[in-house]
Amino acid sequence: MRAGKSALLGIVVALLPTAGTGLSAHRLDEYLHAARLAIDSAGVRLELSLTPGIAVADALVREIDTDGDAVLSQAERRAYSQHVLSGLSLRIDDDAVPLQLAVADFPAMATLRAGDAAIVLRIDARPPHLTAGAHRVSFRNGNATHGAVYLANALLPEDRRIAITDMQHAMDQSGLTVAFTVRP
Amino acid sequence: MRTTTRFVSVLAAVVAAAVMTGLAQQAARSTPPAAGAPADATARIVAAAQAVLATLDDAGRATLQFPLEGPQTTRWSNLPSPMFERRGLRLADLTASQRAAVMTLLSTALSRDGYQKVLNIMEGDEALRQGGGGRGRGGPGGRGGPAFGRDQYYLAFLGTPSTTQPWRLQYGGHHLAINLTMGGSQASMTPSLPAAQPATFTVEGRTVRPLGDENDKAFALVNALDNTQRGQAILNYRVADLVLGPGQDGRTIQPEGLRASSMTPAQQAMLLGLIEEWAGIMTEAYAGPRMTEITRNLPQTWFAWSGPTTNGSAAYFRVQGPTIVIEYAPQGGVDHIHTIYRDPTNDYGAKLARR
Repeated sequence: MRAGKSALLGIVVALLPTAGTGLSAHRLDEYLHAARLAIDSAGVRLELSLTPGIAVADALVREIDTDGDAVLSQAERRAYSQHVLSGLSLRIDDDAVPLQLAVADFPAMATLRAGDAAIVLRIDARPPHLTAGAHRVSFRNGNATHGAVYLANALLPEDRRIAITDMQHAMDQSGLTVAFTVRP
Repeated sequence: MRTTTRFVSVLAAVVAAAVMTGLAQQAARSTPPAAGAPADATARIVAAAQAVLATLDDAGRATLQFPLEGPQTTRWSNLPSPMFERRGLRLADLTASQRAAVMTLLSTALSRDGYQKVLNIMEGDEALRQGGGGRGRGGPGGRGGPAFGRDQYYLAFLGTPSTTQPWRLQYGGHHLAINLTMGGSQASMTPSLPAAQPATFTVEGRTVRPLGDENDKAFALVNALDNTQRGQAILNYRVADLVLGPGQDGRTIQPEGLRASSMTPAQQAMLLGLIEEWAGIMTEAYAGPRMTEITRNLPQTWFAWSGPTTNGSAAYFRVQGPTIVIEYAPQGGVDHIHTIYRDPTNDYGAKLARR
């Protein structure tokens, strides 16, 4: 395993010179936060895929593996997930909606360190009551460590009562506001 | 796409690349023109697949074949193999005759342009390995290992090659994934991932741009739009990467940009020409019905752009319709491009499986 890691790091060294300004080859030195918002008549389901490039993965693993035993325990996974959640905000209309972590899926340590695996957080945001009519959901990701870059998109609603009418992205996609209507 | 001039230039490119690769030359010369009914194309591809199998011993066949449904389905990526574990027959492990059979199969399954595109992507990776690509920016080739180059591509069969039952030809490596699912007269080549690094390189004095037509047609289209249309097509935010790349199966995002129904007929033709760069990778007998379907849905198809509009700049674009998603995402500059080609209704031949 050690040799494999060394080989991968060799690839990093080899690929880094090809990096241009901004994004690098195969996102080696960046931490991609890809957010997907699924809106239904009960609220919003947020999926956040967190993919560290191989050049930043070790630093991220050290941040998660707080006891340094090379194992991401359930407690460490939970703590990191909550840390990420604390950097997120979601408002429906003018009201902040509590974010509830539904699933935290962590890949194997080796694949996480290889730069081709994502931590996937599935998060529910359920407002007390979503009435028929026009609404707006505003999402913001304030997590910015390890060279964070962002994607934020709304999924095509599967709920036929929902119709998205407008989307506004932050320039770097750390934020997304989606206007939608709920049919009675 | 099928002008005589282009055909001649592509044919010339085929010959040039074949000289470069040796075995590809043999394959290209032996390939009959792909035409006719889709079922005939399937029969030709199955025959070529069986020819590959005939060159292998039991161990080789076991390496090549996988169940139609299983983890191999999603075992594709833009990453080089040490960073992403591929399975299947690796070209580097094949004899000359086995490799020739593989290239003949590819040239049978793909259109002339599509086969050439695949060769160019592989040769781009070889340029990367040798350190000659990237317009003077170097690349990893000087210190590169076995991860890169034209030998590091894998072929897999998912299911048993058949003229009647669904099966899939999977071919790929660094910056390339082809997933061609066939079932009788039906075929789907999504999801597929043609990419390139370097995006421009030279071979014996000839400039090769594996995704050059995709780039140029997109810039031509965005520059053919009037100010009002551009105001709709051009997104006011940066898109850092593919949204629906590897691992994003089954997701459909809300479309954005300019609807083709708001384009002039000339602009719509340009959009179709752009789409054909991906839809036309598979053999013409399959690509024809696919383009008919895409054309039928063209009014519900969107074109979105992020970045500068001067050709030579790094700009992201997306084409999204009821049965198609195309994304083109420069990775930090113009010399490293990732693209994805999907059909939200028929990735991995989902419709074939339901029949």
